[in-house]
Amino acid sequence: MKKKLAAILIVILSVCLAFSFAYADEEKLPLLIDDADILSDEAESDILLRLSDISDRYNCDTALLIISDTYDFGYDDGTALADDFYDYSGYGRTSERDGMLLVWVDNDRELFLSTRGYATYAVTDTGLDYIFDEMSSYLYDNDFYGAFVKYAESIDYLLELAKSGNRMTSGETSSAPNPLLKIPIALAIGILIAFIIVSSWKSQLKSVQAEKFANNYVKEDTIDIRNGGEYFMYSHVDKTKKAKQESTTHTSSSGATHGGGSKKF
Amino acid sequence: MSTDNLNYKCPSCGASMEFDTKTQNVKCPFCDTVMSMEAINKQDENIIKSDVNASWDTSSIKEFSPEEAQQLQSFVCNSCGGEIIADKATSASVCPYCDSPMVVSDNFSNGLCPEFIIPFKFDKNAAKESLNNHLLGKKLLPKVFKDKNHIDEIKGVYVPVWLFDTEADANITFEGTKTRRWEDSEYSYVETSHFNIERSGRVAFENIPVDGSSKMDDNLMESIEPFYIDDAVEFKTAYLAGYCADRYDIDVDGSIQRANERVKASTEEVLESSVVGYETVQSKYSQIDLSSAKAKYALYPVWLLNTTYNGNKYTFAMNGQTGKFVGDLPVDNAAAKKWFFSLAGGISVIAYILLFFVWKMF
Repeated sequence: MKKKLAAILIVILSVCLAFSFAYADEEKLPLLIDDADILSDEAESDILLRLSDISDRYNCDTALLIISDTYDFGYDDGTALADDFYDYSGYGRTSERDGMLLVWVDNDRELFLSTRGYATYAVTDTGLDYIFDEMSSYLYDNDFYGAFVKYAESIDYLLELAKSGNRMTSGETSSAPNPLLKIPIALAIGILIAFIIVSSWKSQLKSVQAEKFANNYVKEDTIDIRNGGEYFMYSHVDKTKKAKQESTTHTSSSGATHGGGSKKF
Repeated sequence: MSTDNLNYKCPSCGASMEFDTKTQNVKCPFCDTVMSMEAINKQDENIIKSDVNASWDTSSIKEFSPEEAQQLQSFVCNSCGGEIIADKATSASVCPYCDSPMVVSDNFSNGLCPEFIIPFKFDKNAAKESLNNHLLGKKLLPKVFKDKNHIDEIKGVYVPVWLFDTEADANITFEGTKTRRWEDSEYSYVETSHFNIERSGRVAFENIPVDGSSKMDDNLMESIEPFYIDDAVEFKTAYLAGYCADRYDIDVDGSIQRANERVKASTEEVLESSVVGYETVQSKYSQIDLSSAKAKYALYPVWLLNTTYNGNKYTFAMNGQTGKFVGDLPVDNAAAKKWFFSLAGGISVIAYILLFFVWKMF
């Protein structure tokens, strides 16, 4: 019975996808499609509102597709699915089809981001890591609403940076480090503070030390300092090559150039 | 003229620098460091010694008069060889430094008579109380040391010190640095500019004390400073009643070096405080000439307390004029380890909980 139901679902989804690909140039699909039904209606409305707002403000489509499995769409590669879904679903602003699509494959717990046009410029490789890092703690906790809100906020931030001509480079990565770092960081803090406290207690036991100066024996009002001049001697310039602000790209089946990447959670 | 005279080393990389006709400066062909001709000229002129030049006047130091000598007796320590002087009514049975028995010397030989003495202002009970206060609030002090601490004997000792007055005329050259940062599309740049800064000045010092006894630990004596000369009075043997006085065994020539070091350090610090606006400042050359340099001989009051713990001797000292009390204490290493691991564990747990919430915020 279950097998029959799954087969029917595949057929329906495939027809929908083929239908949408075929009419892509004529009608754009919604910016949020929750095919795996992991978001509540309220959450969907809120996220769609955020994505629409960002898309309009930056003239750069920001879309989200949530599916259970790539095989439901006849793909075994999530990157190719994300690229093709973007290319054939009518997404993209301007003649360059500026925009991006994030695909969450629920069964594989994997994210795929496909960017095109201006979005490829705005979302650098470092920016991509930033988005995934921002979402990670929510995805680990299965807080999908929180994760996709973070997606919207991260994209908003990266597009704003790009707009100001200062794209995210290495050194400006996510403010939310890997959750597994909590234990060593907490231990390091504990050891450091304990060391400082115990050292200060030990130093209380030592009160004998040589007096380096004779400041206590300076006669009052006898200090007379004369400025003998200051002049430049030499200078030296150290230069450091800046981190590249690049986005790795690839070509989709349609021949379009896409950026982006993927990460498992 | 030898070729060495024409060879200027780059201060950044050590390579030979060359004259740059465009900028009229000297430039390093390897790292592009530029040095002004003014700096080169000054470098040639700088034949400056990092030294203190002084000659000390010791003419005011005089010997005991026969009358004074008659009222005094001396004791010799069989262990450390120290010689203690006291008035004839005082019996000094134990050496205040090493707690060994002392014997009366056959003859009190005349020696230098102190010019000043600062009389004791704190008595033996105050010294005992200060010791108890000194042991309070020390978490890593062994409990046994605190509970069973007993001081065999507390000795009020007049420690011989040489007092130095001088005026320091200093010429000090500092090197200061300033940095400027900028960037273009490909590189970030940091330009570090080095400046030569010259300061000269005069600072007068008075009554810098230097311990004249080899038995008294110099660091212990300097730790109970300062002593205030305002309370000093002309030496009279009567002040020694009930106390003993160590006789100097380091003469004024042997003490001058220590006074010079302190004068130099303080003078450099005073002049360096006038150098502002630089990110780093370092003293390169200093020449300090001392004038009106005068040395005097005085006795300063110190309470000495000795105790033994785990086979190690611990000496405490209290300034007999100000009551300042010092002395290194033993460390309870077992307690230190226990505290360290307990604190590290507890703080780590708190830090982990805080990080948990901080993580959520991002």
